[in-house]
Amino acid sequence: MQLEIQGVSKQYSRSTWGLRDFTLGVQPGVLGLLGPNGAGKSTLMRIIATVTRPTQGQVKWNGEDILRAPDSLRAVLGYLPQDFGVYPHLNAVEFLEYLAAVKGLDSVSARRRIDDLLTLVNLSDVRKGPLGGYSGGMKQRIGIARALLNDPGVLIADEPTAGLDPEERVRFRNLLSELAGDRVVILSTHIVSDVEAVATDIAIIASGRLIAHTALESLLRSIQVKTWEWTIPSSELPATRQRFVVTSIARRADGVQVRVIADSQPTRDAGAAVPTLEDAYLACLHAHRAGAAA
Amino acid sequence: MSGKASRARIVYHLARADFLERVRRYGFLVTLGFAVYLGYLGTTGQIFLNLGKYQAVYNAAYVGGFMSYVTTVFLTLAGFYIVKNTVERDQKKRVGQILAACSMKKLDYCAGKFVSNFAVLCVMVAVLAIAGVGMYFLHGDNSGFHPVPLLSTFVIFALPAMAFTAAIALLFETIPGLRSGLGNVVYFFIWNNGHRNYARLADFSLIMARPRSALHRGGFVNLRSSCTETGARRG
Repeated sequence: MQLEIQGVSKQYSRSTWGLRDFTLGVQPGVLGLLGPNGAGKSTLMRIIATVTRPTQGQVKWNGEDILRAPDSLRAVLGYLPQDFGVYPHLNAVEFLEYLAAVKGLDSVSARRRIDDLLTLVNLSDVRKGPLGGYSGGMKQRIGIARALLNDPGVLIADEPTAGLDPEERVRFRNLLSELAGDRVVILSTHIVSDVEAVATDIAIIASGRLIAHTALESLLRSIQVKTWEWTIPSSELPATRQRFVVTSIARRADGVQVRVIADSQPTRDAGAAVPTLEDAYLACLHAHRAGAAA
Repeated sequence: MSGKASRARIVYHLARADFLERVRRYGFLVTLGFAVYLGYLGTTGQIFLNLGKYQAVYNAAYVGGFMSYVTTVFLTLAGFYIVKNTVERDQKKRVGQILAACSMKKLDYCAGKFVSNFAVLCVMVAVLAIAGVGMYFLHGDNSGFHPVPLLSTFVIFALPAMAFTAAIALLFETIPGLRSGLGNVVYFFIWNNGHRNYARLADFSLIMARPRSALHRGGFVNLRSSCTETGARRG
């Protein structure tokens, strides 16, 4: 199973590009797609999900061009868009029955699968209530159930944990981890902790371009001896921000604890810290922006 | 996943979901209420057919013909605007992008939407048909209740017109220039021209509104005699 994105660009207007010459190979496992708002993550998701056609480039599923023959991917695709909708006057079972039929499931398989999925997303108790009365988090869980209806070989989830409470977020992360294995799962989000918890590979996208694609461990290794932490007086914070890439701050009784990325020890007080994915992500973005500005 | 859903199953579920979503809306009940009111106007004789030199005889065939004509005229216009939002709804509700990522054929999607449009209009036809039966029992002649001539006119006239309306509403939604307000105006002119021709074809003139005072003078009683096969006789 392999998904290949080759030189894909998407131009929205003469001067607006959603993606530019984007190339990425995705193997089974969870790929965490990280990027700031407007980086092109959703555009990429929509192109892979065959909803949007790229201006240039190819997307291949197991060697087959999905722009020419989208059904080969659609048959195994589970797609959870960022802003999907529901029919508010249908209940969960009716809505999922409808989409199960559209996905090609027969009635017996659909009924069984819907029961299982509603239990999985913890919505069995409200299965007969109209979807219009669901909270944002409940609708998101319906979306997750819908994306899993056909037991997909490729799962594309665009900001899937938005609107979920912490318990449901952990539940969904665990579910993604269980689903991975021999499936291709692409998890697009700007919530770094979600990616850190489940992703095996990381792709970072900014301004429509791929700026990093590597295993989580290698990304962390790249800033292994570049993450520093120390406490400064609050008044020195603006100057520190100007001098270093500050990845986090924490207010303390004796000042502000700052965490920065720097090639060498920034001050004598700074101590080496264990890098996190957030540090690595922000370091990558900073390097990209610095390169673009130069 | 075991088994493959047939295309008919896809069309059925698409139409079912769309139909249920529509008929459970408050707006549908309002429209249905208007259809019931229209039936009431017919039943109480406040609207009637101006047959020129002919007079109506209130047998089952006439009542059926009259009510199916009213139904057809009303629903080919109002029905178009009621059902012309099925594709738009999928876009607005952001369900369309989910469907776009499925391997469903465009033809199946259109067929499902057409069936849903048609089913919504058929519900209204059914309401007006029931009103027609009520009208017969209130004002009908003494020749006995004959359901076949009464209801067959709905099948012969109203249902094909509803199928046409359902199809043209869907067609307008798929043509970019006709999706919006322009399409609504264009359809009004098509309808205005078409229903006049239909009236000639069905040997009817225009529907007229009769003042309530005319009913009080017993206008219907004078029309009840000498039934003919078509439900109308020379005056």
